[in-house]
Amino acid sequence: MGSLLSKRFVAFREKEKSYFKSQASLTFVNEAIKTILIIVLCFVAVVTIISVASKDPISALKAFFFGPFTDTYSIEQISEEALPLIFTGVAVCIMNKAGQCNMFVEGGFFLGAFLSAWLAPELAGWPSALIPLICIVTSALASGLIGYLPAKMKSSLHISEFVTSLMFNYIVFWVVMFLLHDFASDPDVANKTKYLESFMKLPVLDEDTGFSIAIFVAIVVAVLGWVFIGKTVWGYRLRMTGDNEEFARYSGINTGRVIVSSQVIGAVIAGIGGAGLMLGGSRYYRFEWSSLPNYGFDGFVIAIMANNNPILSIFASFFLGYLRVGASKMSVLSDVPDQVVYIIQALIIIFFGAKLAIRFVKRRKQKASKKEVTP
Amino acid sequence: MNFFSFFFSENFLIQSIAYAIPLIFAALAALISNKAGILSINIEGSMSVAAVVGALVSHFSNSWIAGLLAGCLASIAMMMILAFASSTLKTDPFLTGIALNTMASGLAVLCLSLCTGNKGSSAEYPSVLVPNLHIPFVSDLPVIGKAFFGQNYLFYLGLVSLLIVWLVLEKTKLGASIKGAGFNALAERSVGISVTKTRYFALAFAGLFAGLGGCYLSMASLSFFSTGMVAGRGFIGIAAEAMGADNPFLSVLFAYIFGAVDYFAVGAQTVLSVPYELLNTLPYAMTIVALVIYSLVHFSREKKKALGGLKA
Repeated sequence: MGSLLSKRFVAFREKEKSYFKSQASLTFVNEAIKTILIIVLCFVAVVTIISVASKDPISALKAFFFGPFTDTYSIEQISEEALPLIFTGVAVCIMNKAGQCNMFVEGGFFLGAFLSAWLAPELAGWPSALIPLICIVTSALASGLIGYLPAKMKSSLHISEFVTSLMFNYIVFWVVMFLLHDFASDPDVANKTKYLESFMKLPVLDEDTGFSIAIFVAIVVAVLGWVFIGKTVWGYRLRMTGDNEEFARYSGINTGRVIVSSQVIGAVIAGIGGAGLMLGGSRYYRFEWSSLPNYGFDGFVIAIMANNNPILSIFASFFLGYLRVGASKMSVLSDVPDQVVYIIQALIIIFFGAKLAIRFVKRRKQKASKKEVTP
Repeated sequence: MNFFSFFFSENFLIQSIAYAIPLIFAALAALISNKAGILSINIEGSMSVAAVVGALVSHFSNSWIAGLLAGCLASIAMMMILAFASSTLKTDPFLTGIALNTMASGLAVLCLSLCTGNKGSSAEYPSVLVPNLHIPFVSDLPVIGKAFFGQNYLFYLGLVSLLIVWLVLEKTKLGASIKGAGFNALAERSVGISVTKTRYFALAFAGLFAGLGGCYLSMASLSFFSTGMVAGRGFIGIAAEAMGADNPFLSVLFAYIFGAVDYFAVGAQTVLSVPYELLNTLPYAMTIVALVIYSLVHFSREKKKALGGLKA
């Protein structure tokens, strides 16, 4: 009798498993269709905006859509645009998963870029394999150190990390400007750091265009981020805190520590990203930014498109990189300025946000209708 | 000129008020949207759109009233996108706000380059300035004359807005329903008030204030729009509102203090031998310090309350 029951139980479990699997694949297909629909909607919006803004919309659209694929240089350009976005996207994914709204990714990225560009020429006598490594580690540590401040204020004083991290961005910006003008600038070129020789930068794969291994570093960071969130105990604690902080605390998780560590990890990744762009980007030979580069906010766009999944954020970054290269091609070849791409980004966020909401509302409606059926 | 004569001068009083005007409007915008339960962080973006639209329209129509109206309408339109996305499409207002800020920075430069062909500033197309108040005799009084009776029109509009916000929130039905939407939206819905409609109203007000603050920057403080001229003032307004703990008068007071620090960073460059880059960090550092102090005081008060409860 017992064996029969257990057999039936096993059969039931199998049925249940296959049911959930089919459900999962169904939702995956559903999600994919919706995502494609959103992208199509965005493209419709793009076509409309460009048609309004341009006198010769057809050539502008052509440059926008097909420009990025005309030669290998443009294709490498896409990966170059994607490089900073992957880092900031992964950083935002990790903080979002922990339920934290920290904006310091912007400042950390800026700080990392500056420190690495300042430090690398000073280390000129060192072995060339060590220089980028030391620079990246220094940038990561510095960024993490400052990222610790808003995190600690959140966890022990309950001050919204959103406002404080924004303020830290501006403070970091002005302090970097001070250091750049008074200490770090090249004696021959005002307000720029010293020239970065090729042996100070990350190894290059394509000599002609300066395409370097930085993009692979970014992909490794994204994969590590995915493993951290999805496959480790720390990641589990982090997700639990993000889903329901009260519940996490009552089940014995030190949520304060999770809040601090998630924001510090995000800041560290942002610092690595800044250094990676400075030392691995083909267009960067000096640090010469005179305003915040906005990559931190772009990280939020990536995280929303990727649904806070670091692996998907790689694809999202390449997509956004494609849009940006297209926009810059278009601004060269036609009369449409490349700021159009920011409007497209905003539409993407709003549409994706609406997608999440629609799913949520549907689920609630289903639940409600079920309740009505059962007395 | 030494430091003390700089700090205790008539000019400091005048300029600190002038620097506080955009922050006062930003704080009011943050206040009314916060009361309705939507933290609208796109005040920053709305301000920059209003600044560019106000500057350009005032130049081409040759009238500051038209510029002000157009700037406010543009800002309200930006806020309406937030209202539509968050109330009707049910997106997360925080993320939508970030999106709208990004969109605003693109939109501002797009408008600028389409109208003037320049992506940096509209200096070649100077905007018509909003005039300063001048009452004969009263404005010429020593010390307080120019500081309180000779400011820009927008300063007085700001004070009137403060009173209106307070009156609306405390004395009218609309204010009660705005506060209800923020306090408990479900309860409000259950008594038959449309939360969505209320939030649309509140965000329209927030857009109006953000627009006035933005227009002040490009139509009174300077005579042109330049990219990045808002420079976090919207966010500082949100911080001032947080410090003021949802009280309109306290929020405006903190906005004034932040404005004074803002002017201090600019004005002290001539009297202090500190690099201007480091002085520029002051408004932001001060915001953080103020938030920390506020939180510490708040905590000790809460503790005392808890202890008092135990004794009783």
